[in-house]
Amino acid sequence: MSTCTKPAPSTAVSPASADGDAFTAEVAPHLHLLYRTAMRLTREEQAAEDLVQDTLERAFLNFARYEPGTNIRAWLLRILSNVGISGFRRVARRPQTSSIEAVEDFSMYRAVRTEGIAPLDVESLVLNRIGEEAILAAIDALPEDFRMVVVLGDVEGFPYKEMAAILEIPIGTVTSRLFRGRKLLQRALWEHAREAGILTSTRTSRSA
Amino acid sequence: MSKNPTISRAWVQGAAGRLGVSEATVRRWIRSGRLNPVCRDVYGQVFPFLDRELGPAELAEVERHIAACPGCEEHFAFDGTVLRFVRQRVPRALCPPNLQDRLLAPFIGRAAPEP
Repeated sequence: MSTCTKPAPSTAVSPASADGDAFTAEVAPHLHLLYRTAMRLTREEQAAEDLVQDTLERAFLNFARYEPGTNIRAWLLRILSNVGISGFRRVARRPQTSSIEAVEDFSMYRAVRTEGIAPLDVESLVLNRIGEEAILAAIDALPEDFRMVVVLGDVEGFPYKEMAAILEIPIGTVTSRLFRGRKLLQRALWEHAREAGILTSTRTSRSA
Repeated sequence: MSKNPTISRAWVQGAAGRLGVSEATVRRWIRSGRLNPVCRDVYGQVFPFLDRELGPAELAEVERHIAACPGCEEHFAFDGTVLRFVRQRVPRALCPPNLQDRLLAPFIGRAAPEP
């Protein structure tokens, strides 16, 4: 139609027209967050790199949908979580190492008291003897759904509302997964303490 | 049938779901004293409490209970200690510089995608 006119050229740089350089500047500060989270999700360096690369590719193609000024960390992690689910999880799912059914059969609080340790001494007598790498190993042993909320909540410090947006689940599900995930983490830390001889040395030093 | 008429079937069902055990197990735990329904309900809020995610009314309810129940107060403090330990001590790796370069390389100088 002859009445059809060309749209006026936009002068503002909107995300819709952002090129690779603008995109790179926007996401570069968040590579640490993406890499760390991908490492916990995949537990392998090469798989983590692939996951971050796929996440960035999808983020670039969808950058027009990102609203400037909104939470880009949550936006990028939502993409990472989606890419992880559709790609990585199907091919690389491992047998889950923890039985979710048994989660409530273990209480670290109760175990500590059974061991004869005053609960509020747990930090000096047990926790401070657990190495930092053992904390990561305990997180990595969690079943995937629980691992993700523990990583987002306790490693990255996201509030519940943002975790719900990232994982696209209700806040109530975030709350229940955090409860079980942290209980499983307590169990893993306690088992580590026992296997590493920390409880034995604690017993010795207390009776000395 | 529950021996304790004040504990509703709905509570037992809810607890069984939350705890991932059967209703019979929940009833056994209540009878043995391992599970106190009031403390158990409050304890279900332990992490939202520690994470400062409770609304004013829920927060007041939890604070009222733990102020009056030394067992719950200690239990909450214990979980708070473990939680702080994990948050403070968990290693937070950085993305190595050469990997950052590799990850961003495909986008440098690239035209905006077609809308």
